[in-house]
Amino acid sequence: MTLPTGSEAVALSSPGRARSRRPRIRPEKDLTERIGVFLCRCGGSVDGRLDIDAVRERVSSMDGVETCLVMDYPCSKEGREAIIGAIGEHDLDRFVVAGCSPKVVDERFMTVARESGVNPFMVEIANIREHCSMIHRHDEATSKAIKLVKAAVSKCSLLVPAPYARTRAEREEVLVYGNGMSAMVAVDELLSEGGKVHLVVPFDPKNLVFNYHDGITPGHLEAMRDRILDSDMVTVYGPGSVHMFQGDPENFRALLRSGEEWKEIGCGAAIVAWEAEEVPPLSVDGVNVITQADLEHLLEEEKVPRSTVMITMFEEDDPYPGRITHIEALRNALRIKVMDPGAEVTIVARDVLAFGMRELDYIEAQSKGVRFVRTGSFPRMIEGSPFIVVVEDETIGEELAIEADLVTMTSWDQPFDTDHIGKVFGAPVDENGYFIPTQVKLKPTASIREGVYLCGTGVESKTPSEVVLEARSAASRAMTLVRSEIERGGAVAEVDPELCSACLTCVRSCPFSAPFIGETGKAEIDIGLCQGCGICAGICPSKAIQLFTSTDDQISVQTEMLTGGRDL
Amino acid sequence: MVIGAGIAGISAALGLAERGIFVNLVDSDSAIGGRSRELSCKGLDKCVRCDVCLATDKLLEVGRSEMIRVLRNTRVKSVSGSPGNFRVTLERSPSPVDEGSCNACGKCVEICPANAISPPRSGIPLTYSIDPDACLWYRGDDCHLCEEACPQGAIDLSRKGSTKRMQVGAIVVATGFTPFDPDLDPRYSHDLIPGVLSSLEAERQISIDGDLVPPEGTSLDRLAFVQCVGSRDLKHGVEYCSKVCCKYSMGIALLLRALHPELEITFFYMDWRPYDLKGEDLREWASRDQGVRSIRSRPAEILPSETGKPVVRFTDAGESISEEEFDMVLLSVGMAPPEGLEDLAERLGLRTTPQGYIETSVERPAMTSRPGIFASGCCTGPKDIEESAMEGNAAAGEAASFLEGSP
Amino acid sequence: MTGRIVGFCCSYCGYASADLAGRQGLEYSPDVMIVKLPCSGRIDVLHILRAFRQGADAVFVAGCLEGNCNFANGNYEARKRVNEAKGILESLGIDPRRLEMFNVASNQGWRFPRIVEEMVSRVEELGPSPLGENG
Repeated sequence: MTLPTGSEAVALSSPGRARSRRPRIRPEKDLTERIGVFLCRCGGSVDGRLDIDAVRERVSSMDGVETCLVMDYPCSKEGREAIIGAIGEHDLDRFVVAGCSPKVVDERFMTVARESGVNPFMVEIANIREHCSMIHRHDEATSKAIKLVKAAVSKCSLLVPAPYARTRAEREEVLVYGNGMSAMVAVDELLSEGGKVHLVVPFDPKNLVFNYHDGITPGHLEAMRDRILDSDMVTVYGPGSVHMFQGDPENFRALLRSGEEWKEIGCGAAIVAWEAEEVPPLSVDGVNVITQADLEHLLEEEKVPRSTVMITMFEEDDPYPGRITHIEALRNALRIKVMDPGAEVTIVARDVLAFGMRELDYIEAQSKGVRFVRTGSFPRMIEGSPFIVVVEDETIGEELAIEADLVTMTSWDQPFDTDHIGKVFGAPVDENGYFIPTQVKLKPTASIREGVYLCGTGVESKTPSEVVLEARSAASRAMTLVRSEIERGGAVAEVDPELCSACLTCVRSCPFSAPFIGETGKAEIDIGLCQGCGICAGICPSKAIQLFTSTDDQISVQTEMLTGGRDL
Repeated sequence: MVIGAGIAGISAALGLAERGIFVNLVDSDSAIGGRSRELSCKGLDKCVRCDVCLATDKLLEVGRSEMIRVLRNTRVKSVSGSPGNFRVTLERSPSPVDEGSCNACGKCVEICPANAISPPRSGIPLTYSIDPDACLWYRGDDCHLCEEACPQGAIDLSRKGSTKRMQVGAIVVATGFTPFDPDLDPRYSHDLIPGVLSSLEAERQISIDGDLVPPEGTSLDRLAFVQCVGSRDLKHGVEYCSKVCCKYSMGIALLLRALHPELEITFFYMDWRPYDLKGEDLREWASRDQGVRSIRSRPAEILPSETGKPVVRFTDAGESISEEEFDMVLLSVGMAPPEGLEDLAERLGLRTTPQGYIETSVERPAMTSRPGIFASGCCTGPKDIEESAMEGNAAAGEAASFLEGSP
Repeated sequence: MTGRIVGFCCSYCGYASADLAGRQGLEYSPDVMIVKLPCSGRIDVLHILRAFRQGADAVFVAGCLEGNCNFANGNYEARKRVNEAKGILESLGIDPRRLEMFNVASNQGWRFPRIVEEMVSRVEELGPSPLGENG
């Protein structure tokens, strides 16, 4: 197995599993255990609200602190240059910055570290502003700041260089596994962004049909499909399936089955573009009671029913019929009225879910004479010629009997085969079979597995125009991933094999599947997948796992500084 | 260039930055973050996925990126040139409060006779801001009290603006929306009755205090929500549905219920349209919780009672007119195109929809009528935070492939 | 000064909530000092017990709202560890109310001072830790 190229620091090796090994760190200094402390005045929001010189005095006398400077703005250009200077002058191998929140400035100082040969994970930032000077009185703020900075210094003294690397994608191709519209749109977006695609479809992709248009020009999707199947930049496997999917973001490997052949491919990202399927309710007999999709086909064949009743509720208790129901109904209703203004259309609904601009369709339908009956209970149907639909009209409080040549019912959306796909890609599926997008951070279309994106009605019921937005958004994210540098490693977990008892607790509790049992029979952490949360470290019964920037000792030395004694 | 630093603009900027494309992120406000800064978390111990915190969390990533230059207090004055080579003139009007010197002592707020200075809210960075509509100096009086009171000398009311010209390859418009001003519908007495608030005002209060605070001297026992204020309203020129109000109101109602188990809540609605279709249906909640009612009706008006409390006048299903008194009424206000969008669209040569939003393609979301210019977020139509982020991502992809010269 | 209170805050929500409280100038007792963890799930019973042994009068863990943990289930794990630790404290004769787990959102600046208030009032009620200083 060849080593990935472009990797600066970490020697990643083996089939897609990055081992947490001591890296060849680029010109970083040897460890000197000399700490620098830089206190920020923060323009008066620190200095002026506490006695910063007192802090400096108390901190400079700590063991290991070679220099303790008060600066106007360490985060500014001048400040950063001064820090770099101090690192050189005092031969520091780590430093502490005390000022505002690390959530705002941490990256800045990690860059300063990199630029001066200091491992960026040997920088500790103490918050003496939002957590101190902004909210406490002068003396209290001062004594608390002293404790906070001392705690940071003590932690800093226990830091060790963490392995990390910035890598670019090994593979620029994106794997798209899909069964419908979202797959086509995703591939189209990838192609328009100059990408290369492996497209896997569970059936012959020439048979991809698109049922409902919702504002998309008819024929557009079919033309897109044909263009994609013809494109040099797309390798199509269909009928095909994905059997295994492994590796790290930007460097995945997948095992595909295409027809009778097995094929292994590499890709930088994957998109699962899955559509749920329409499941018509049992009462649909195909003649008098049909689905909205069937009605659309009828209308395309110019067969306009004389009187139609559209039922947009489910027989079961589920109150919400799905986002697409009323949009389909309104469009078909409007089409009927355009083709035959005398035809009768009644839409039976609990609420008319004409979201957003669709409300305009609702207004137009009303003005064209489409009747809307609001009801809380499912109507009764009396078979015969014509059909009679009996519905309790909520607004007038009476039962209505409506004659109908045709009745349309709302289909269920049901995703199929998603359990298996979910397991292959590491993308969890809920109890109804829908893919679960990550709840973490605002990352629409992302699954919890980094590098795998989700789109389609198999994630959530949505209208075709929403599918288009989602699929293009997912494809955009996938392209961004394969085109960007990602940093791996750093504040990650590491297992001490001597303490590990291979109990598998870490393997079971990690949400990102980073721990695995290695060849030695002990647990190891794939730092390409490790997100640095420390759940494994907190749960390990043998205390075999530590996090580089959050070891047990580093935590306890902070609590010691913060609580120990009343006269620090 | 990305115009607008709300969630859509930020998502677009981050997507581009991740691909190594330099972004100038412009916002007319003194802090970035857009409207999400004014919204509150709707969860208590469990997350209800209202996405508000996720939007504000993203701000931090902007500050950390080396590929994004943030230009606050900046507006686009004019745009010339052609796709791939736009020349933009920016108008910068820096805040009178210099963040560098400000130490947040709050003396200016204390001393201002017009209550025109507000302390920092969320957003990055946090700045004190002076409301030019309320400030006496801005209105022509010779008041310099804040300048004089500031021990840091951080305030300079006459701080001059400047112009800046830049050349950019592509532009993403993400200027957000304007909430419907409930004062425009005097039937609801928003400016008259202290207990009548817009949903956004309520969110702002909850995000600061953690709860809804009833007007002085009253207690919050009976609360009403009036949906579709400024939406589905031909009289006020807004025919469409604002899509997100039912979802957000439900979130607020559930939160307040969790905080006040005895609170009586009544919803006045036309159609119940919770956009994400998850969670309990309002009518089911009402049927199992005696303190919750759902009434399908659009109130005719809200009048003050003798004690100054809001009284809602509405027609019930049986066609009879009812009047009910509440302690507070929240008006779920709809979305309208952002201020100045018509003007901006004209300057950029973009087509707008009949409703005044930027026209984008259904088949290629974020693409506008002009190559090289893209649009995302609520300026293309009402949407929630997640969809705005999605559209921002789509805009990043479109803009990147445009700039990279991809097929 | 009422006592020494250590707050283990997750770097996403707990810490951000404290940041926001600071920026909004919402005052609270300086008795509280924050230790940043990458995720509340990093917490080990060990850290909590050591903090008490080192002289803390109360300890809390602040993680994200349930369902919104940046690492999926870190906050659930944290709650389990906290409950385990409460049990151990009780068996050591230390009132388990000195320890608590809170779920807070990153944009709930108002909530952090309330959490502090809660812990401070518990210390006021229960008095200093029976372990004393450096017990």
